[in-house]
Amino acid sequence: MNRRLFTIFTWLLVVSLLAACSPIPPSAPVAEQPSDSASTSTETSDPGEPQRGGTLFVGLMQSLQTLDPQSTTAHPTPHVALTIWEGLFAFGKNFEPVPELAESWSSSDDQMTWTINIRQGVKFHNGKELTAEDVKASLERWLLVSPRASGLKIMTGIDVVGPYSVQLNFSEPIGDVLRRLLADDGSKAVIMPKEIAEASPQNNLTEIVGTGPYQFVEYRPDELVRVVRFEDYQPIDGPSNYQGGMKNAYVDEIVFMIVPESSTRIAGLEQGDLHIILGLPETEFPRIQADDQMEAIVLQPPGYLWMFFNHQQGPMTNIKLRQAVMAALDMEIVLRQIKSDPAMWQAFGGLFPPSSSYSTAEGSEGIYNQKDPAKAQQLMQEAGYNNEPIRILALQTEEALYRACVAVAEQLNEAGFNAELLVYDLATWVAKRAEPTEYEFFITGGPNTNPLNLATPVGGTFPGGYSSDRATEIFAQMRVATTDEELKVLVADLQKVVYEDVGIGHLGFQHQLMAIRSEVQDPNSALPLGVLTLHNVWLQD
Amino acid sequence: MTTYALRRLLHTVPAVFIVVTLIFILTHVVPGDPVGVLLGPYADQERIEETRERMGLDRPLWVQYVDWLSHAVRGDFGDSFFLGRPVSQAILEAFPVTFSLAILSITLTVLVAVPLGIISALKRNTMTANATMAFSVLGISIPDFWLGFLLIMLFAVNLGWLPTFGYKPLSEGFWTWLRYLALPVITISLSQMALVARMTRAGMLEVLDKDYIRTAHAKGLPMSRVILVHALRNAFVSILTVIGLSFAIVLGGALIVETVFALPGMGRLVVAAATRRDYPVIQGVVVYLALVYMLVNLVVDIAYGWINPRIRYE
Repeated sequence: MNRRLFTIFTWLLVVSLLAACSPIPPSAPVAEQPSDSASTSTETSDPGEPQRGGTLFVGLMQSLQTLDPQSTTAHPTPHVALTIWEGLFAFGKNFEPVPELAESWSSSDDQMTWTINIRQGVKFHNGKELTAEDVKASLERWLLVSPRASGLKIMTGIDVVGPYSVQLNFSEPIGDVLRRLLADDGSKAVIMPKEIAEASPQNNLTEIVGTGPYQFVEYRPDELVRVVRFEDYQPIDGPSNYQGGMKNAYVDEIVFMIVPESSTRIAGLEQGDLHIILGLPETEFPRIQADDQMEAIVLQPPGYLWMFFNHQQGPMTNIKLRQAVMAALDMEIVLRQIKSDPAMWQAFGGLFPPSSSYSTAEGSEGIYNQKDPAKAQQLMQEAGYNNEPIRILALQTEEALYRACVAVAEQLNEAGFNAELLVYDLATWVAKRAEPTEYEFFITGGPNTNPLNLATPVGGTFPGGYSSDRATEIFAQMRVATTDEELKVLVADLQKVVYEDVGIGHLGFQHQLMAIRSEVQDPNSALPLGVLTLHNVWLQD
Repeated sequence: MTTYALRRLLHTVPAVFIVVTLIFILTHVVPGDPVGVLLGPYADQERIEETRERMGLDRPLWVQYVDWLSHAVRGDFGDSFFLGRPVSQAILEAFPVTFSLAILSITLTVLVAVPLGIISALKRNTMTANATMAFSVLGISIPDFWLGFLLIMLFAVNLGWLPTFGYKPLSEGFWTWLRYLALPVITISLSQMALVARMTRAGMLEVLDKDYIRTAHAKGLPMSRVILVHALRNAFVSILTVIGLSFAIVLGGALIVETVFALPGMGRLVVAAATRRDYPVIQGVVVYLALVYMLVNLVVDIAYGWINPRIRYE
C-alpha cells in the first residue's frame, strides 16, 4: 500500500511541476511599422516637468573589455564612456556631427590644415580647466591606441596655436568628414587631461577623468560601473541633440550593472531592480511591449551584416565562386532567421539602410538577393568548383552574426556548396580570420553611419584582404566631400565597385532591441538611437 | 600534527608547479590571444601586431614563462590585461563573493542534508526515507540555471521578497548580504544536498548495524546520544570527504549560478579570463585553485583525526 501511495505521490509531483511551467507564448509578430524614428519614439504623451534626482540602474549584457573608450570599439564601453567623456564633436539625432567641446572650426583653402577652437571655461572632473594642450595630448593618444586611427593616418601632426585653439595638419586634403570621424562614438576621440593621456598606456587609463555630465566613481570589473552627476558641468547653450547639445544630467547617479544572462536582466527590469536593459531577446519583445510597466524599443540605425570573403587564398579568390554565393542566397530567409519579425530587419542591398541619408540601392540591383540556386550552380561549374569545403568562421558569442552564419551555410549547402561552419569564441575567431589558410569567409557587422568607416574593410589590411584601387580613389573623394548629397553619390559609386568585385557580400540589416521601465522619461527620444545617451533621461516618481 | 601539515604543504609545491606550467602551455598554444579581444572585431591587422609587440606577447613562449615564473615566486602575478589592476587584487575582490557562496551553501547543505540522511537511514524502507531520497535525486537532477530562474521568478519577480540579482558585501549589513545571497545559495545547496544526504544515509546504514551501537542501546543510552555521538561520529569520515569536496568545488567558482545571478565571483573571473585570454589572471587563478584544493584537503584530513581518534597522523 505504501509503495503504491508513494508512486501516486511521485507522479502527482511530476505532473504539478510540468503544469507549473507556464507555456512560452508564441512570438506574435509586431504589426508592420515603418522603421522611422516616429514609431520608435520613447516620448510619452505628457511627461510633465523633468524631475531631478534618483539613481538610474542600467543592465548591460557583457563585461567591459576596458573602460578606455579610445582604445576599443567593443561594446559596451561606449554606453558607459559617453556619460563621462566628451569629444570635440558628437552625433546629433541624424548622426550628423555637432559641436561638443569644439566651438568653431575652419580649414585652410587646400583643406590640409584645420583649426579648431574649443569652448572656454570647461572643467574636467578633477577641477582642471580644459585647454588646447589637453586636446593635443588626447588626440595624439587616440592616434596611437585607436583601432580606427587608420581612418586618420593622413594626419601628420597637431599643434597648439593658442590656449584654446589647435591646428590639425594633414598630408592630404580632408573635408568636413573630419568632424564626422571625430564625432564617431566607436572608439571615440574623447578629450582627457594631458597628464593622463601622456601617462596612460594602451587600453588602460591611469585615471578616469573627463568633461562629461557625469563623473566616475567606481568600477568593479565584471560587476558594475558607477557615475554621479558632475556638479560643475558646463553645458552648451541650446537645445539638446542626441549626443550633443544641452545635457541636463537629471538623475543623480547612474549604475551600469553587468548582467550576462538575458532572463535575469528581464526579471530585473520587471521587478524594478533595473530601469533600462540592453540586449533584449526578440522572443520577449511582444510581452514587454504589451506590459504597461515597461516598453520595448527597436534601436536605430540597424546594423549591417557582411560576408568578408578570403581574397588571399582558397576558392573564394575566384570571382565566379563569389558570384555563385551571391546568386544562391535568399536574403529574406537569412534575415528572418536572425529576427523572425520583419519589422526588425531590412533586406536592402545598399550599404546604408533606407533610413540613412546615404541610402541608395545603386550598384546592388541584380546582384543582391537573387535567390537563384540554378544560376549559382552554373557559376560553380564555370568556376570549376570541385566540392572544396567552404569554411565559414562563426562567432559564437554574437547571436545575430552566429545565426547569419548558420542561415547562409544552410542555403549554400542546399545550392550545392560544401559549406562548413567553424564556430569559435572571440579570441580564436579573431586569430583565425587573420590566417588566410583558415577560412573562406566570415560574417561581421554592426551599425555604421559614416561612409568613411567603410575604408577599413575595403582598405586591404582588414582580414579577407579585399582592396580596390577604384575604391581607394572614391574614399579620397569622400574625404573632401562637403555635402551629404555628394557623399551619397560617392556611396553609390563605391557600391557599384564593391558589388561588381563581389569584394564583400552584403546580407542586409537587422535591429538590436532594448527595454526600459515606464518611469524612464526620454523626452528627446535619444534612447532608440543606439549608443546609450542618458544625460537627458529622468525618472518619473 | 604541525609537521604533518607542513609536510603536506611542501608536497603541494611540485604539484602546483606542474599544473601551472601545463596551464601556461595550454593557454598559449590554443589559438587566439588577448589583443584581438582588447581592440574589438573591427581593428586592422597592423594595429593588432603593434599592440601584441607592446604587450610582449610576440616574445618566445619560454621567455614569457620564465618572466612570469620569476615574478610569481615572489608573489607578483602581474597585472590583468583587461581589468586595469593587479591579478592578486582581482582575485582578492572576487574571493569574498565566492567564499560567501561556499560557506553559506555548505552550511545550509549540512543543516538540511545530514538530518535528512540520518532520518532516511533510521526509517529505512518507509515513505519518509523514500521521499527524502526522492527529494535528493530531484536536487541533483534539476539544472542549476533552470532552478535559479525559477527561484528568481518566484521570490524576486512575483513575490518581491528578494532581489533579482547582484551581490552586496558584508560591510553593507548582514541581512543585506544574506538577502542577496539567499537565492544563489539555495540553488547551489540543492544539488549539494543530494550528495551529502545520500552519503550520510549510506554511512549511517553501515554504522547502525555495528556491535557498538547495539551495546550503546543495551546500556540504556538515550536514542539521540546513540545516533549523534556514537553512530554519526563514526559515519562522519565519508560524509566529511563529500562536504570538503563540495566546498572546494564552490570555492573554485560556481560559474552558472554566478552568471544567472550576476555575482562577480571566481567562476566568472576565471571564465572571462579564459575567454579573453587574460593570461596573467588565468595563471593567478590556477595557483589560487591549487592552493584552495590543497588547503581544503588538508583541513579535511586533520578533521578526520579529530573526529575519529583511530585515524592518526605522524
